[in-house]
Amino acid sequence: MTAKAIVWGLVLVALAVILQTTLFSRLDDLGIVADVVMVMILVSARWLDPEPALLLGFTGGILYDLNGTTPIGLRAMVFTIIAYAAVRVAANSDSHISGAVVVIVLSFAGVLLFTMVGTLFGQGSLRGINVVQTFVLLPVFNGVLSLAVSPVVKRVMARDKVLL
Amino acid sequence: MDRRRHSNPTMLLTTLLVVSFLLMTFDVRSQGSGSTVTATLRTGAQSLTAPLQDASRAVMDPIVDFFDGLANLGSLRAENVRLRDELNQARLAAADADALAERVDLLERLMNLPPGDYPQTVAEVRGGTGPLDLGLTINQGLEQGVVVGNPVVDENQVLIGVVTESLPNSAIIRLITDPLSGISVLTQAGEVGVVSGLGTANNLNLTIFETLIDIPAGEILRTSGTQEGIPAGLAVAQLDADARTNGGGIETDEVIPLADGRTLNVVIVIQFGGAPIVTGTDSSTTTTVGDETDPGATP
Repeated sequence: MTAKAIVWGLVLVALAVILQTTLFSRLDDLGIVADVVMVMILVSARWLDPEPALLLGFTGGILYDLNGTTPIGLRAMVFTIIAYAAVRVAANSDSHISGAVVVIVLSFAGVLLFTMVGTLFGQGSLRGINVVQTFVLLPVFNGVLSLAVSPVVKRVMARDKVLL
Repeated sequence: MDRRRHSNPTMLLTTLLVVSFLLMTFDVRSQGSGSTVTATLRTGAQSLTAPLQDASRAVMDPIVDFFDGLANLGSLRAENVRLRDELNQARLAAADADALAERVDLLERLMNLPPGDYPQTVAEVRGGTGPLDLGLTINQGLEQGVVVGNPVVDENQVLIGVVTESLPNSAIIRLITDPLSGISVLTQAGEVGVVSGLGTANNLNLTIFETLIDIPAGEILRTSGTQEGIPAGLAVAQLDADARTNGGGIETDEVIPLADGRTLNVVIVIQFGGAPIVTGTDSSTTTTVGDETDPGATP
């Protein structure tokens, strides 16, 4: 892995934040709920060493928090943890399909963590939650989205990866 | 050689989690206190991303609008017919309203009430950042006169939320559908209650602590004017079913918001209340309306 891969990871995550706060916030109105930043972090983390993956998750979360309305640090915490988990299971998810399953599982874990920590910090997200949309649709849409994103991320990041 | 063998990700993970926790605590505790640190961070990040968001929106919005239109073609036709009927009825009502408006003007002057026209700021919505984010960010803020506590309405003057944080060129809105939101409302019978969010776009909760009067379905609930920063008379929600008194009060969640804030691209901020009070010394401070009350508090 080179510094180039880390830079690519950051660029992709920053791009995902822009898309999430514009395109995907509107697709939400059409019933398509996906967290493209979470997907990008999960997919990119597979191609990074643990430390850069953690920093990528943290940076992406902070950037997302700063452009959203949730407390600064909430998504940073969640994305850091799921990035760590993604690195740990990366060796067992060689294909895009198994990678998508990992994204679905970790998205579910991420959303669960987000609502729990958010509730502890007075966000009220657990009280008014749409259970199906949040805990079922969002992870599934994330998994589907990862199938589209994975080849692109692999193309730009895998060529810089040294065998782990 | 495997470089991971020499690394210590657990230490870094712990450090980042502690930093996140501290940031969160600081941000939550400093909300409404005029902290410059979090305001500066948000302002800096948003000024960096705003041009990119605008460019993205310029490209993506027409495409999304196209598919949105396709998806809603059938309902748009029915809506068109319904709106024509409503327009005809509105024209008839307008004739009566002119006469009524003259009478209201006269009465307001006699009673020395504040005028109904307040300074308004039109703002574009930047996000809504996803299904887990119940707030909105708009592109107008402190420098445009938007302060914490200002009510936010749609083009029909229907209340959609309240400003909870104001930065120099942006602001964060808490929608009335947010479980943490509470709006003081008045029924047509003159009973004061609180409409609070349930976290969904379709339902609100209405609580009236002491009343013996049932409220019929279809009644429009309007702001009472007893809540700091929010003028009286803004339409908020409509009863979907009869609300009957139970134990001397009313508690129902069969209340429909009259506007869905998450679907709006443009909103209007009503600059009602006192002049902004700047806390701190530099221009990137947040502002608070003096003596801001708990929005969920019963008047």
